[in-house]
Amino acid sequence: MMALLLFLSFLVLMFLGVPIAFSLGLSSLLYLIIVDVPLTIIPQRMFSGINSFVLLCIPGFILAGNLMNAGGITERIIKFANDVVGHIRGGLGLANIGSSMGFAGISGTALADTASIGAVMIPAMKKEGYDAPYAAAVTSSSSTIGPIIPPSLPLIIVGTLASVSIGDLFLAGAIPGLLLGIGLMMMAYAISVKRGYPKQARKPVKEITKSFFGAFWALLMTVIILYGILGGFFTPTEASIVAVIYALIIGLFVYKDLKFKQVPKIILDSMISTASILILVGFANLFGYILVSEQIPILVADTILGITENPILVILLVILLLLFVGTFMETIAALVILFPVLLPVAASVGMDPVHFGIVMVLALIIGLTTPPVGVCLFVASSIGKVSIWDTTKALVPFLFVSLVVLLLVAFIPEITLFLPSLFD
Amino acid sequence: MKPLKLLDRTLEVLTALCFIGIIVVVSMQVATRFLPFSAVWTEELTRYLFIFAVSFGAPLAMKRQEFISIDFILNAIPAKFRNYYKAFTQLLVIVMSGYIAYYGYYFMLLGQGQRSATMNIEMSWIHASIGISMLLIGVYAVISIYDLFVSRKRGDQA
Repeated sequence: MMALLLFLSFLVLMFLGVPIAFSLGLSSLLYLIIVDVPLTIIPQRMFSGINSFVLLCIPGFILAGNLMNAGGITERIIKFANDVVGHIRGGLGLANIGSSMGFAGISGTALADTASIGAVMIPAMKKEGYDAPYAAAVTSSSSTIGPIIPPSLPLIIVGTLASVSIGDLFLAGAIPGLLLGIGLMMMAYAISVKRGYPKQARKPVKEITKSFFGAFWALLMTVIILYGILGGFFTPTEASIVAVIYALIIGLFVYKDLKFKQVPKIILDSMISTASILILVGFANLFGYILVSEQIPILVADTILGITENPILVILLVILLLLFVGTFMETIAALVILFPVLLPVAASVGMDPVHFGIVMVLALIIGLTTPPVGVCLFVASSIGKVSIWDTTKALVPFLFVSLVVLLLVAFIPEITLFLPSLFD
Repeated sequence: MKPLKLLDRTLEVLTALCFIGIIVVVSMQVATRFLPFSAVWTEELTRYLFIFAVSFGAPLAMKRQEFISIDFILNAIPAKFRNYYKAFTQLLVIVMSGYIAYYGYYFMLLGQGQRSATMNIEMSWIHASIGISMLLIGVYAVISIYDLFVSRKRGDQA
C-alpha cells in the first residue's frame, strides 16, 4: 500500500514538471515521513550512492568527450564517414549513422550524439534534398548507438549495481552496437533507394586515407580505454582520467583546434553535468532502497513468474516492461531503480548479469527516440525544425530495426558474451 | 545582486578545483603503478574530492536548469500563469531541500568521532557535503522564484 503511494507521488510529481531527481527525492521524503522512519536515512543513502570509486569515471569520460568535441573531432569523424559511404545512394544519411558509431566511442550518452552530430548533419541533409523528418529520424535513432558502444554512462551504472566488471560490460556492448549501426544503415539505404535520395561523387582513395588519419586519433581513444581496462593496466576510473589527458594532448597539440583558454570552462561544465547525474543517482539510490525494504523486487519477481515460467515469455515480459518504462522515464534513474528489481527475474531464467545489463540499457534507450518523453527525438526535431509528430512517423522503420536488434541480443547470449569470454 | 555573483563564482571555483584535484590525484595513482613506491591514500582522497565536486556542482546545475524535467504540462499552461506554475514546482524543491539540509546536519553529527580509513580525517567533514549541497540547491530555488517575478516586471515595463 505504502509502496503504491511512493510510486504514485513520484509519477504525479514527475509529470507536474518537478525535475526527475527531485521527484524521486520528494516522493521518498513523503513516504519516510508517513511510515515514520528517521529522516537521517536520506542524506545517508544519498551519500552512499555517490561515494563510489567506480562512478568517479563518469566526470572523466564526460570531460574527455567534451574536450574531443571542442578539439574539432566531430567534424573529422563526419568527414571520414562521409568520404567512405557518401557515394552510396542516401550517402549522407548513412554517414550520419556511421558518425554516430564513431562518436559513440567518445561520448557516453545518446543526447550528446544527437546534439553534436545533428547540428552538422541535419542542415547538411536538408540542403542536399533529404526530407527534414527523415534527417531528424536518422539522427535521433542512430544516436542510441552511443550508450551501447563503450564508453557508456548507463553501462558504468550497471557495473556498479551488479558488481560486474565494467570492462566486460564495455566489451559486451561492442557487437550489439555494431549490429544496431549496420541494421540502421540497411534500413536507411532501402528508404533512400525508394525515395531516390542523392548520392555524392566517389572520393579518391588518397582523400579517404587523409580523412581516416583525421578521425584516427579519436577512434584510438576508444581502443586505449578498452585495452587499458581489459589488459588490467588501469581501473575504469583511471582509464577515464587517462582519456582526459589523451584528449587534452590531441586537442592542444595534434589537432590544435582546442585552445588552452577554453579548458577551465570545459572542466567546470563537465563537472556540473556530472553533478546533475550524480544527484539523480543519489536520490534513485534512496528510492531503490525503499523499494527493497518494501520487498517490491520479490513482489515483481513473483508476479512475472506467476504469469508464466516459460523463459522466452519471461524475457519478453521484462523487455515489454522496460520498453514501456523507457518511453517516459530517464534512463539512469530507471536503471538504478529497476536493475536490482529485475535482475533476480532475469537470473531465474538463466540470464547472465552482463547479458541482462546490455538488454536493459538497449531496451531503455530505445525510449529516448519515442514520444511522450524522448530527449533525442525532441532535440533532433528542434534542430531539423520539424514537428515531433512528423519525426515520429519517419522514425517507425528505424524503431523496427532497433526492436529486432534488441530481440536478437536478448535471445542470442553469444552476441554479448562472446567478446568478454575471450578475455577470461 | 553582487553577493549572488560571489556565490556563483565561489561554487564554480570550488567545483573546478575539486575536479582538477581528482585528475591530478588519479594521474599520480596511475604513475605510481610504474614507480617503486605506492600511495594508499589516493583512492580515498579522490572519492572525497568527488563527493565535494558533486556537492558544489549540483547547486550550479540547479541554476543552469540542467536537472532533467518533463515540461508538457508547463507548455500546456497559458503563458500568463506559467510563472506561477514554475514558482509552485520550485517551492516543492525548496521544501524538499530544506528537509534534507536539516537532516543533513544530523548526518554530519553522525560522523563525529569516526575517522576515515587511510587519511584519518574526521568523517563529519565529509558528511557535511550533502547538507551543504541541499541547502545551496534550496537557495538557488529561492533565487529562481525571485528571478521569475522580477524579470517579469521588467518585461512589463519594457
